[in-house]
Amino acid sequence: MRDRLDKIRAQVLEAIDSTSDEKALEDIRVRVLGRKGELTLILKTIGRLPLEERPEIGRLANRLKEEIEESIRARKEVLRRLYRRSQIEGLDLTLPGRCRPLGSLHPITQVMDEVCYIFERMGFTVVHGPEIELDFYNFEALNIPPDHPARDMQDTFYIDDKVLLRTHTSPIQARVMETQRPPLRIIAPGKVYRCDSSDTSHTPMFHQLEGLMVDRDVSFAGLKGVLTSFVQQVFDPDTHVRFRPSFFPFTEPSAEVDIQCVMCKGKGCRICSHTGWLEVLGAGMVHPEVFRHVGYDTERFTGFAFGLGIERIAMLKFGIDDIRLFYDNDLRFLQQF
Amino acid sequence: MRILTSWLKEFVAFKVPVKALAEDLTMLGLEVEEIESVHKGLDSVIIGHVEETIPHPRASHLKICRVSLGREEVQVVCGAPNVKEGQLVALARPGTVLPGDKVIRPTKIYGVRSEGMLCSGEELGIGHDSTGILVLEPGPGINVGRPLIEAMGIDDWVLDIGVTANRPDCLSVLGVAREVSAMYDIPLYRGQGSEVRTQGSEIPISIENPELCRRYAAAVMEGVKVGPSPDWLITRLEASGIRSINNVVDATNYVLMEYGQPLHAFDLDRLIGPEVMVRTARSGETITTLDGRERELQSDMLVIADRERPIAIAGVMGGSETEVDVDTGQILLESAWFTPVQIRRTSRALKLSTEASYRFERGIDPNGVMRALYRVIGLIAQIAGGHLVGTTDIYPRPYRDREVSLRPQRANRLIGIDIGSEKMADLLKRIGIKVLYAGDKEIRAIVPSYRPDLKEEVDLIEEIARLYGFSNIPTLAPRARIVTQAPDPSQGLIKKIKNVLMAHGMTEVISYSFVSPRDIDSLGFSRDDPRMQIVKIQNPLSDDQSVMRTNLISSLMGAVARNQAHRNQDLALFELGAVFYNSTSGELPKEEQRLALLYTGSRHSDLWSGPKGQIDIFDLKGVLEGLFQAIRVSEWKVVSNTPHDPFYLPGSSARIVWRDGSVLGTFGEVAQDVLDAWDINGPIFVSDLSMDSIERASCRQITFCPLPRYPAVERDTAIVVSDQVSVQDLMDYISTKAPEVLEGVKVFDVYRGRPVPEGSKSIGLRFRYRAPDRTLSDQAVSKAHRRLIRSVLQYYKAELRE
Repeated sequence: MRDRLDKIRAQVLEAIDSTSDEKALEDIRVRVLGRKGELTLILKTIGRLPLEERPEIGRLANRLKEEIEESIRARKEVLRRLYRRSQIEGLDLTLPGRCRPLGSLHPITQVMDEVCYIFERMGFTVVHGPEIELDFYNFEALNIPPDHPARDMQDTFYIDDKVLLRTHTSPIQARVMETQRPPLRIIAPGKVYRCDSSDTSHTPMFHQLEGLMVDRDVSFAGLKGVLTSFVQQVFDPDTHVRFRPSFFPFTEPSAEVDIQCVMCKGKGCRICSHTGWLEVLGAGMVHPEVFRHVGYDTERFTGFAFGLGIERIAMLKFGIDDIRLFYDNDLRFLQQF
Repeated sequence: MRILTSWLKEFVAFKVPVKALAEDLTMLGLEVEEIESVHKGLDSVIIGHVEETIPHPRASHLKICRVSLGREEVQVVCGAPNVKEGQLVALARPGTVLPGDKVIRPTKIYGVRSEGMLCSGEELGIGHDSTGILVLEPGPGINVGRPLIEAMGIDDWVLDIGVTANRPDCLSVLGVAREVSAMYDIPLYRGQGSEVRTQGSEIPISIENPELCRRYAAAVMEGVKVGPSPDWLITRLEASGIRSINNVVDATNYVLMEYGQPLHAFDLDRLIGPEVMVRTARSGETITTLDGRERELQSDMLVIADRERPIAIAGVMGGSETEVDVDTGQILLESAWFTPVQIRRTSRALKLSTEASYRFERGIDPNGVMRALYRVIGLIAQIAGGHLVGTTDIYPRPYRDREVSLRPQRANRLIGIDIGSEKMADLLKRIGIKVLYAGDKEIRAIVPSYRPDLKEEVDLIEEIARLYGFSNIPTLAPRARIVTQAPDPSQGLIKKIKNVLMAHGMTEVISYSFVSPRDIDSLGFSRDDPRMQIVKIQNPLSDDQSVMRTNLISSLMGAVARNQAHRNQDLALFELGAVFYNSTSGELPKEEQRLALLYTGSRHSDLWSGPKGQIDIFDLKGVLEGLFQAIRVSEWKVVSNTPHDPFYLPGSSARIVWRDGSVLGTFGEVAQDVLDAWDINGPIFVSDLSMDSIERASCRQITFCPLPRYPAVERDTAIVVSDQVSVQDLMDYISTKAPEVLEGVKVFDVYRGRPVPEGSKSIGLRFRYRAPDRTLSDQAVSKAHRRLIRSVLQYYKAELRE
C-alpha cells in the first residue's frame, strides 16, 4: 500500500507540474481526488486494512492528499500567471478603447446653462414664461404702447391682434412682478422670435436671457457691478467692459454693455466693425411706468433689468461666424461642442 | 443718421480728432456705428514740388515731370497745359482711388514710366477747375511730402450715428451739434435764432383737424428758377444719403438734414384755388405720390389738399401732380408739425416710410417750424433765385413749456453717485434745460421744446447719468436683500435628462418652432387630433415657417433629412422643447414641453469592437429604460396593443404608461409613408414623450432601503409559450401569483426556432428569492418556485423547456 501511495505521488506530482492549462489540472484532480479518484478510493478502503497499518497508511494517504492539493493550487497559480503573461504579450494599447460614443449637448444649451449658473451663483432664480405671448406683456406692460416708434426696434410675428410670438424674454418681468413682491432676483431664459430674414447674424428664432433685480435700494452702480462680474466670468476675468447710454422703453437710464473685442483685443477688426468693442447686453433701471403697470410703489422700490442674446455669446466664445449654423442641426457642427 | 463733420463744425467748434469725437458721442448715447472719410481713397495724394519738366519724346502734348516729395523723387507723365517747374502740386501715388473709382497704378505712357498722376481739383473732387492741374499756393502747412487733404485742412468725415427712438432731436446736424456742445461745454453758433414774423401771404390756409396738425406754416416764393443744385450742396446731400433732385427740392432736404424739420415744396401754379387745407381724406380719394404710385387713402389719414383734391399725404410724401419741376416758377413751401401717432399709423398703413415720416412720428420741435422755413427760403433765394412773397403761420395750439422737477437725492440713489444739486443743475443747463430753481431737495426745470422724451423725473435723472458719464459711475455689489426662492424643479430635471441622453450617445438638436403646414400633414394625424389644432402665424417669413409646430417628430424628421443629405447616416438625436396647440380656453394657445428621441443607422459603426449592426427598436427602448432609471421614473410599463400614432409603422409602436394610468409617451418605428414624405432612409426609431407627465412621474424623494442581511437564491427557468404572449403580460401574471419571498424576475433569453415549436417562443427567466429575516433553505425555494412555475404553465398552457 505504501508503494502504491509512493507511485501515485511520483506520477501525480510530475503530471501536475507538466500541465499547461487549468483544464488538464482539473482532470488530474478529478482522477486522483474526485469522488471515484485513485486516492479517494484508497482513503475509503483504509478501514479495511489490518488494524496496525491503519494509522500509518491513513496518515500517509492524508498527507499525500494535502500535498497534491497544495501542488495543484500552486500549479494553478503558475498557470494563471503564464496565461496573464501570454495575454499581455501582443497587447496593442494603441487600439481605441471600447467606449460608448458620447453624444453632445447643443452649444446654445451649454452656453445657456453656463450663463444661468453664473447668475444663480449671484442669487438669481430661474423662471419661465410662455413663448406665445400677449401683446400686453410683450409691449404695453413694458411701456411700449401701440403706435410707439420703439415697436420698430423689434419686428414681430403676430398670431392675431392681441397675441404674438414674444420678441424678447422681457415680458416675464411683468408676469413675475404681477404675482410677487420685492425683493426679486430672477433670470428668465428662453426662445424669442423676430420677423427678420436669416443671414449670418440673424435668425427668426434665437435665445435670450432676461434678468431682473428689485428692492429698496437697487442702483445703476449695482447694475454695473452685477453685469461686470457676469461678463468677466463668462468671457475672461481681464475683459474690459464699458456701459454706454442707450434706449429701451422699459428701462431708464438705459445702457448697452460692450466688451472689448475678443478677436482683436480692441485693435479693431471685421468682427467688431473696427470699433474694438462688441455689444453683448442691454440693461437699465426699471422704468417707473413698468412698476406702475404691476402696482409697485415707485417711491419704495427701484430695480434693474438686463437682457442678453445667447447666440451672440456662443458665437464669440466659440468663434462661430454664422448664426444659422445653430439651427441647421448638422451633426458635423453639433458634435464639435 | 449720417452726419458730416464739416457741417457739424458750422454749428460747434470742436477741437478733437474725428475718432475721439466718435468715441465721445458713443459714450454719450449717440452710437457712432461707422466713420467714413469723404475723401476716401485720397490718403496717398501727396504734395509734391515739380523739380523739372521735359517734353515727352514721342508725344508733344505730354511732359515728363520729376517731382520731389521731400525724401524721394518720382517721375510722372503729365498732359496738363499749366504744369511748370517750381509748382506745388497734388500727386496721386499708386493706390489712390479718385472719385468715380478711378484707381491710380504705375504705368507707361508712350514708353515712359509714370509713377502716379498730377491731379486737377475736379479730379480730386475738391474743386471745379478741370482746365489744369491743381497748383497750391505756398502757405502754412502746405509742405512738400504731406498728404494733401490733411495739409489743406479739408478732411471731412461722415459719422454714421445710430439714433435711438427716444431722440428725434438728434436726427439733424443741429441736434448732434447740441450734444457736442453739451459734451465739451462749448458754445453752439446757430440754431437758437428767434422767430421772425412777417406779413401773411394771399393763399388761404386752414386746418380742419387741429388735433392732428398742431402747426402749419407756409411761404410763397416767386421767380424761382428750378435747375441743378450747386456741387457743394449735392456733395453734402449725397454724403448724408440723399439723392439730388433739383435745387428747390434739394434745399428742402438740406434743411431737413440740418434742422430736422421736414419741409415740402409745392408748385403753386398747380394748386387749384389756390388754397391749402389740412384735413382727413374723404372716402374714395386717391393720390399719386412722388414715387409714382397711386395710393388709396383711408378716411383716418391726414392729407394736405387744395380746393379739390389731396396734394400730399401729410408728413409722409407729396403728390406728383404738384411736384416742383423745371417749369415751376412759384412755389409754396410747407413747414408743419403733425401728431406723431397720426403719421405713424398712416405710414404703416401705406407701408411707406420716408425721412419726413420717420421724424414726424418720433416728434419734431414745434418751435423749430418757422426757423426751418426761413432757413429754406434763404437757401432757395441763394441757389434758385426768386423772392419771398409772404408767409403764413397757423398755430392753433401753441406749444407750452413743460416743467419737470427732480429730487437730487433720488437721482443720486438711483444712479449710485453723490453729487450736489448745483452740479446737477449745471449738467442740465448744458443740454438746453432752463433751470428755474436748484435746491438740495428739488430742482425745477423747463425742458426744451425739441426734447419730447423729457417728461418726468426719471428722464432728467437719465440725462444727469449720461452727462456725468456712465464710466464715472462706480461699479458696486448691489444693495438688496437675499431672496430665497426654490428653483423650478423642472429645470434640474431637464438638465439631468439632457445629460443622461448625451451619455447614451445622443446629440441634442434645436429646431425652429415654426414649420411648414406640410411638415405636420406628413405625419398623417386625423382631423380631430389635438396636433391638428395648428397655430398659424399672421405674417410668416415664408410658407415653410408659417405655423407653430404641434409635435417634435417633424422637427426630428427635418434634422434627419438634412443630415442624410450630408451623408451623416448614423444618427442618435433628441430635442426638448415646446409645441403649441390652438385652444378655445384661455387667452393664449396651449404650450407643452415635449421630449423626442430618434435613432437610425448602425450601431457603433466606427468601433473595432463592441456590438455592431443596424440599430433596432431595443436600442431606443434601452435608452428610455436608462433615462427613466436615472430620473427615477419607476412602475412604468409598455402597452403595445393600443391605437397608435399614425406616424408609426402599424404594430411596431407602443405606449409607455405610468402606474396611475397616465401616458408618458410612445415609441416605435416610423412608418414608410412618413419616410417617403421626407425623402429619408429608414428604418428610423423615435420616441415622443410628454415632459409634464415625466415630471409628475419622476420621484424626487429618495428613501433609503436597508441592505439585505440574508443571501438571495436564484432559479433559472425557461418556459415555452405562444408567440402571442408578451413578456409584459407574463410578468404581470407572475406578479399576481408571486410568493412573498420572490424579490424579482428578469428575462435573460428569448429563443425561437428548433426545437421550440413554430408559433411559440422560449423565454428564459431568472427568479430571485430572498427573505428579509432568514436564510431561505434550498427546499423552501424549490417548493415556492415549483408552485409558481406550475401556475404559470397552467395559465398559459405553456411547457418547460428542457
